[in-house]
Amino acid sequence: MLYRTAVPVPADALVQRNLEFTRTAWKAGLRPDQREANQLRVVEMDFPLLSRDVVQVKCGNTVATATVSCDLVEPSPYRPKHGFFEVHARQLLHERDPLDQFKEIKRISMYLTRLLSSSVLETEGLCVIPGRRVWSIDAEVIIVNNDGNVQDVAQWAVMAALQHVRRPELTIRGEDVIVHPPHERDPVPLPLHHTPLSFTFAVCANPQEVQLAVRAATLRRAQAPRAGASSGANADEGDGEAKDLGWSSNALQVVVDPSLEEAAAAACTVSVAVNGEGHVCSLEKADGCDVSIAYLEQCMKAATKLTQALLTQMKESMEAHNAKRKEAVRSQFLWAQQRHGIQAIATPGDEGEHASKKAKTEE
Amino acid sequence: MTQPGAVVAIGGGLRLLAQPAPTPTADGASQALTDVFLSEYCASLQRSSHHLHTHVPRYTVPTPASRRYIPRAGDPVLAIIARKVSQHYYYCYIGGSALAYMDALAFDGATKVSRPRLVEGDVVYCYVKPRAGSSYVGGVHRSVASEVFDTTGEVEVSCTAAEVGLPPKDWTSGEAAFGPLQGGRVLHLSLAYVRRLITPVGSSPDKASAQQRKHGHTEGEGGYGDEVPASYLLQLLGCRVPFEVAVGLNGLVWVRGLSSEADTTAAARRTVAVSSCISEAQYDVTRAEMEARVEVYFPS
Repeated sequence: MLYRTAVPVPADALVQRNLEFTRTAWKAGLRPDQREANQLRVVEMDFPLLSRDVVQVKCGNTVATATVSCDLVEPSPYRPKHGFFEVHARQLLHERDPLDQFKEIKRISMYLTRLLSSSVLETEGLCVIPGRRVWSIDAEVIIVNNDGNVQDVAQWAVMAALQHVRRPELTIRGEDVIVHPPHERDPVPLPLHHTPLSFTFAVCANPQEVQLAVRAATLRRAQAPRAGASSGANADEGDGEAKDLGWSSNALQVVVDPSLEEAAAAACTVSVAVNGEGHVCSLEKADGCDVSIAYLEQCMKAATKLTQALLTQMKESMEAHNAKRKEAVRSQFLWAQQRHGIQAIATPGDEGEHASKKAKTEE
Repeated sequence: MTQPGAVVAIGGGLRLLAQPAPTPTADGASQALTDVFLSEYCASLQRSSHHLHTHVPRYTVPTPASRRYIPRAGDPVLAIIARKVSQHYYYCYIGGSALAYMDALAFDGATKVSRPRLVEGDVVYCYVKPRAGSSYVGGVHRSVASEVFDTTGEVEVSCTAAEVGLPPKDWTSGEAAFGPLQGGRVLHLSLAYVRRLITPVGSSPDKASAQQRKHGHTEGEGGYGDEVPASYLLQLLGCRVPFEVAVGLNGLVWVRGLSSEADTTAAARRTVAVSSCISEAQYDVTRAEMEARVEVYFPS
């Protein structure tokens, strides 16, 4: 036969060896990619277009793109004073993705909706005329590449887009609504109450299993003291290594920003969302082992520290994008100046006036 | 390219294009026949000497641009046991378009009672066996001597060392060239990089198939030129840290750092450092770059 049906490869068998090594590295106090326990991968935030509604966030090899759009629509008859705010998540799937990846994407979308709706962006603030016109904010995040921890990267992308997007300004006269284009009046930002950022932590091992292992090691050490380390064939060496490398004080307990292999090797994962003021906005734990309050407090403390650094980086990216937009407007003005024969040496007032007009037109 | 009547050998990536029979011309003069070779990949052409007849030139396209591995007879590969079927065969993942299968007795000194007990997820260092018969694909006849497998055929892997010219050792002795790999970590690298990892420094690339496994304590031998293959990196690492590595031509590389009696976590730390160094050195081509890379990870 020319064609042979492909036998489905169980994904667990392919990564089994790396999962075992990840757990061994955690016992030794290391991570497979040489990061610290509370260290993120290299995060890059970029606004690729001149418009303000598209953002791209990279965390290592995980890439997510978020887009926010604003429209004036009629409200729901049951809630005439509330606007609409929805978050959707999509992912470009590859052949190596598992077949139930769409459930994971749906779970991410629901998590973002729960976190952001009625807390970050209050829908009552989107009302223009009760019963007639309200704003509809639609945030869509596309996961371009999945290398672990896509939930956090998607959340960062949505938050960056919501902070940076601008909606047109309105003038209301009675029941008439005038939507001003960007060149007439500057658009206004969305009314955000706070900016929570989510961080996912992987619990390295089941605390109960750790206690049992420590107790068993104590009993074994008390019963039969070892005469010397056995050295010989690979099997004996492997067994000796496994026995010697027990749970020590250097073992990692909780790691942040787990990669694909680390998330699969972890006993369970915990997601903590903390805003800029240090308040915990969301705490989510997936199925897995039991975790005590001490672990959760450790996660919250680490997330609070990481939030400040990430918010600073987000702000810097927005300022850089604003500078890029101004430079683009200036280059257009220079072109128009040369095209229409305007003299290069002009009075500051005239040049300022032209620049401001062009800036408004561009915006 | 070559003169008429020249004898050349072609390697991987090149294929002879079938031409129609020449028709006699009206004036009676017979036109010279010119063979056309088709390149299957987009890469640079490489010329070397044939490993048996040194006076015959051999043209290859050594680096396939595709990410997916195409099985080739005699290639050393790392196989991951994906499924066990009927107590006699294993389905192995080798990165190709379909799973390869391996006999349970395909080990030196293996019998029905004494053989390795492999489970799903185990990593085995083996090689691709040549196919038994010939096949017709699209009317083009491919004989046993052809080195390129068609992707629709079944692929078999084996761990018997005698068929590839290595001394056979029992699988229980711990000195076998092929066999299961215990512990360690598996890296997924590009095909061009693993081919550079397996090429010896300062030697002909045709002898790469004879070098399957490198131990860490290999001393660096002298080479020439500024650009060196990536195996020079393994030699530099071997001088700094004891480790074991198995390089498969299908893009999988197994790394394990040896343990130390003084430090129980030395094995894990060495494995992490060596695997990170090998992964990050994918774009290093000169000797100085590799030495700087190793110096960052293992200061002397």
